[in-house]
Amino acid sequence: MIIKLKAFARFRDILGGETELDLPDSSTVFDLLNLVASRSGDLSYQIFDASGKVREDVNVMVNGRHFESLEGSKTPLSAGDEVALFPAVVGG
Amino acid sequence: MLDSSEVARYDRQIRLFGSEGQKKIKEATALVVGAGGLGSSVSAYLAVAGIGRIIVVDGDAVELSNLNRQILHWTEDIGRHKAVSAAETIRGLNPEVEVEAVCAFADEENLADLVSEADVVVDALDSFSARHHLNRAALEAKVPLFHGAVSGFDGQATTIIPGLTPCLRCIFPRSPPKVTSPALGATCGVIGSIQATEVIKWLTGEGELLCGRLLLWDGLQARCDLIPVERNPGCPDCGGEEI
Repeated sequence: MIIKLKAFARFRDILGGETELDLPDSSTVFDLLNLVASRSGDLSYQIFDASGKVREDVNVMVNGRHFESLEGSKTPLSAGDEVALFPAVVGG
Repeated sequence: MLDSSEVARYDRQIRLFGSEGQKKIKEATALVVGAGGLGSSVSAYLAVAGIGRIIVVDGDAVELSNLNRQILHWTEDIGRHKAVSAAETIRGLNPEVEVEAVCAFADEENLADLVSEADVVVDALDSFSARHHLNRAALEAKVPLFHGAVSGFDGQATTIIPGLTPCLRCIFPRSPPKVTSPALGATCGVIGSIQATEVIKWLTGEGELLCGRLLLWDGLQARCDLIPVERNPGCPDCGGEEI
């Protein structure tokens, strides 16, 4: 199934702005991030912490919903979903 | 009613939204929570636009390392309360504006009272745990919340209208660890200006607000993107419900 990934800020520099990824049916957010992270060790470090969890300073939105308000990294994806990936911006 | 001095001072923007719009700005109270980089930029532009009253909230004191971006504070303000320093500069920018300095960190205890005095609330905070307190207070008081955040060349902004849009907790349900982010004054200027623009649009009824849309500013690439954001039906703060 085709998932549209939109990467912003430092993730855009590595992944490009908008890409279409072909994932097996019943893939999850974790599967998508794992595929993306496999492209470089640096990217893997930026997405996952030492325990393999998605870092807290990474935002993932699935069709406008933050993945943590869905099922976290186990959130199932469907064909045509749009996933946004961008770093947390905290300061004021 | 605007006097002749006000008509002259605001002439260039009265051309945008008329005397009626200017009066709406004059009658409004803005609560600006945080007097750092964003708070400086937002407050300055709301002040010169003629907002009636600004309440500036910050419990910190000015440090030398603040001065690359926090333009309401000057070298001679080092060691002073940020809220007091900010209020003084705002009065200098526009003596017509009533300014109140609140030298306290925003928390669950004081936010309800502060928000109840405001027509608009500006998020110029530096942590999501504090932002979530502010989000709840704004929702309970049904006051619009204008979110902004910055890190280095990056920034984001969105406008939250209770009962109509996703709330801040819908969009960002968790609190990333508070870190000392790299910070550029110009990025604070970009995002703070967007927040001030949103406030003025809300008050005057002009334009289309950043409702249900998260603006992402990438200063390194000189790019601005908008991503749609949706309500969370299980949101612990707003319940994801329309009013």
